[in-house]
Amino acid sequence: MRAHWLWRPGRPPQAGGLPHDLRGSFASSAAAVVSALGALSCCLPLGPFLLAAGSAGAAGFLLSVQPYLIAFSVLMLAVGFVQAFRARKCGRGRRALNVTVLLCSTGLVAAMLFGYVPASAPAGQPSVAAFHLDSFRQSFNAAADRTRVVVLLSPT
Amino acid sequence: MRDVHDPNVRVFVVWEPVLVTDWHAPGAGAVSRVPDVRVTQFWDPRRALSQAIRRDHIVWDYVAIYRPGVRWGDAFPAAQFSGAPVVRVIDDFRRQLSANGPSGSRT
Repeated sequence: MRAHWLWRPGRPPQAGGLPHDLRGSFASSAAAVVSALGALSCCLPLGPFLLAAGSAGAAGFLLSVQPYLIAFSVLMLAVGFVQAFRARKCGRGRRALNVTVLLCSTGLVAAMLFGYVPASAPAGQPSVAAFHLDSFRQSFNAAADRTRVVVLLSPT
Repeated sequence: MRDVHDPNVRVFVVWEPVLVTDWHAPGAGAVSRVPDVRVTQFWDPRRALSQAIRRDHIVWDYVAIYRPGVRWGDAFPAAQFSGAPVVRVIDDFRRQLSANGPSGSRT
């Protein structure tokens, strides 16, 4: 067996040096701190929006709790929009920072939502399925009468 | 896959997050790279197959061929041919697959 088959030289699997869980923890912590700072400002929607963006970002790394973080992001986005509406009613008006954070948060959460669902498979193929080891093993063994090829790839 | 003429070969393409940019499921651009009807594609966010193949490392950019008759029992079976990165082993891969000849009779 070849020694280099585990990863491509120059493209380490853990790019950035930190394992996924650590990066996720860091992202979550950073989001929590920024959210707390944002929440200190009265009538500003920064807190929920930043929390939504932070959760969506962390969901990219904390794969085991990804659905919950995405749901939390959507909830925080809704709370942020309500707060933004109320901020306008209490006379604070929109600030450029608010609008920027709103747009960035909405974009990030939307990207997470779209990214969570795999794209449609090409014509003639079954739809791209979520991987389950047992069902994959069954499919692999069900085709034991023929040659099988297994390919593992990274989406990017 | 255009060069592989065996109509009975079964191809499993498993997408998994490896790089820091892999925070989403494969998009249309990725899945459309393997348009062949003999292919079934999966999204494996927990890298379960990689762990089944080799527990101590991430297996990716990897291709393996399994002969007819090989079954997955307790452990993932040994491949007739395996290699990575795909771009470096693609010629060997094609040769191995062609050498197998047509496989299977049931469709």
